Amino acid sequence: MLYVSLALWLIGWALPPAADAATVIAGLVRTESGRPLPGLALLEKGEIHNNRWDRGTLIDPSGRFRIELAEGGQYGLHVYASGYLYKPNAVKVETDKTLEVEVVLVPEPTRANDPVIKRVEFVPSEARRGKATLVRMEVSDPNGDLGPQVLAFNAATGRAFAMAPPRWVWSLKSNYPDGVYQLDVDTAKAPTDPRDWYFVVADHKCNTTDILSFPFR
Amino acid sequence: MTLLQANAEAVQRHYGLSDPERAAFTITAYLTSRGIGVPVSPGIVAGQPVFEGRLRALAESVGRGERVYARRCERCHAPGTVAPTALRFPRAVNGQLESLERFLGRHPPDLPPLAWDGQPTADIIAFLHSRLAGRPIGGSP
Repeated sequence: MLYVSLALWLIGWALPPAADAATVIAGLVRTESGRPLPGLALLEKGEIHNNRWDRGTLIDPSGRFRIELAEGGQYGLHVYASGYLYKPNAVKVETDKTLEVEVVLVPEPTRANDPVIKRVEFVPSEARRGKATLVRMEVSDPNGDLGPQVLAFNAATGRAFAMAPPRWVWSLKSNYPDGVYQLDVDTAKAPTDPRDWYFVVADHKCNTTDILSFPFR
Repeated sequence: MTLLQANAEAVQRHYGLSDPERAAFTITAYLTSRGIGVPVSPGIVAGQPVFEGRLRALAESVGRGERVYARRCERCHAPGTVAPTALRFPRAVNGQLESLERFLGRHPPDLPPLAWDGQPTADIIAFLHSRLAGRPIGGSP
């Protein structure tokens, strides 16, 4: 019996951590009345509003999302749903643990102040022919107060990106310009499929576009 | 950064006000009133995660604040005596609204004033609040 116990202990010790030892942020997104909301959950790594985008995921129709992380630490969780003001939340995820959050979104009182995504296109990079694709998105804001959240999310890789503004911007707190924002996607190993991409833009007053997906109209 | 300063920055960023102080003051007064009776816990909010980076920055601010306090205030006011009076702010004096940041900025009168939205002011307040941990917000000094 002792040998069996010892053997089991050794097996348990030698095995990799169980599946439930993953570092995860998961949650439920809903309206104030409890209706689940689908959308996008995107993470900044580190201090919230640092604009260093990391992982993300789609929020399913039941309002649930789950993002597995490479490591624990401080993250800025941003939740987006079409027709609702986006919600930022500073969170701390412990390594090998699951952080459960509940996010309540408030409808936008008007869409008149929302940024507008006018056009999205995927074009081969001239400079890195065959190795990169440029994602271009034309954005404007009726109030001229765009912020750094001009965002692209690749559902195939789970990566979120801030797109580069058309001209240099002094600080993250500055008003960002209208124009064509750009993202350089490395396609040296595999092409990227526009069907995997989602886009959302929020201005400094939290006015948020609908989440735009293929065919980007 | 103090609550007033953070509110001012948020108001400025979100609404583009050229002078955000008054709006920030009223928001700060409202939020402070919502916290009356809650124990002071610098850098930590009940039910919210604790971020070590923010606590380190706060500790550095407290250290700077202690030095600024020694230069500007200590010759007349022992910190142990003065710190509890920080709980009286924001306040109204003769119908005039006054923040702790403004009050500290013009004291002592023989030294150059401090900007209400500047780092030295935030540092002094961080130092004072570090001596108030556990005391209720809005409580008698």
